[in-house]
Amino acid sequence: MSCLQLELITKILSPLPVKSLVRLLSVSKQWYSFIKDPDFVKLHLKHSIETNKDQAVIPKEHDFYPTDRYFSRSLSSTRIMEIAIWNPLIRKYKKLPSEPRDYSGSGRPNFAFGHDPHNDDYKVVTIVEFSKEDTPLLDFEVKVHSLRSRCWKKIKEELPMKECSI
Amino acid sequence: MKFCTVKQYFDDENNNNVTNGIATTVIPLPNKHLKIKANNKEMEQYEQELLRNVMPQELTKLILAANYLNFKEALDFFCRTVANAIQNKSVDYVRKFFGLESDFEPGEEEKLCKEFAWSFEGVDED
Repeated sequence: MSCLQLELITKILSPLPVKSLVRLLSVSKQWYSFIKDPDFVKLHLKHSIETNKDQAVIPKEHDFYPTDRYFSRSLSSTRIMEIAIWNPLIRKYKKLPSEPRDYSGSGRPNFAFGHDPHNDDYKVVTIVEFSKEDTPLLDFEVKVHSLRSRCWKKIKEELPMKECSI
Repeated sequence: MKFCTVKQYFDDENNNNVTNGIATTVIPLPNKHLKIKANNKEMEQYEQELLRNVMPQELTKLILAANYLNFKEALDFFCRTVANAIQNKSVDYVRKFFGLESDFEPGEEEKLCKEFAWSFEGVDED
């Protein structure tokens, strides 16, 4: 960073918009590592929340589920649910591992995305409401995906209420 | 507290951290801050006036001086000014500003430019 210490570079780069920071990844290898560093990313996020910067208004389309800075979209085929999360500010998306459905018949999926501050992890929750075979009863399949562990976990506990929305 | 480092600065006979020119710009700031405490707009105008005669590249020296002299308000102001100055500038401009050189392998930088082509749109001309 030539003669400027890391701490000073942090002070200069923290208030910059995401678009500028992404461009500055090309300055040098050191700046690339610095800007991509998870600690700097967290600091930048905190700063932009506090100063209301880098916010985007994105119209809700029928298959998109907006949550804060990311979106998840489902591309459901008959047996496999495919979900991707998208960060519109850096224009990158990440496809989550496909999960086969554990229920038969058609289901209506609901999605939620959020940050788990306790584990510093981002999670996607899917709740699929489906009707049990040959009965008018409804049941739910709940799965949670952790970005850290990169896998889905089925939640076996009973949902507290059968009527719920995300 | 603000003036401990200043005293040290004047006591040090050979001080390479802060040249005289820089000192004359940075040192009056705390007094001015005290005088215009609650009035942000007046302070902003004073700060703009101050920087009118300062070349952008001098700002890195001002930052180092303010950091060394432990002037938080001055440091915050100079860093904010640099951030605004480089926000919409090209990668080359920023390199020259901080005296940096690219150390990417041939092809690596092009790959990044291609991957993030959208971030290079609308950039100020050098």
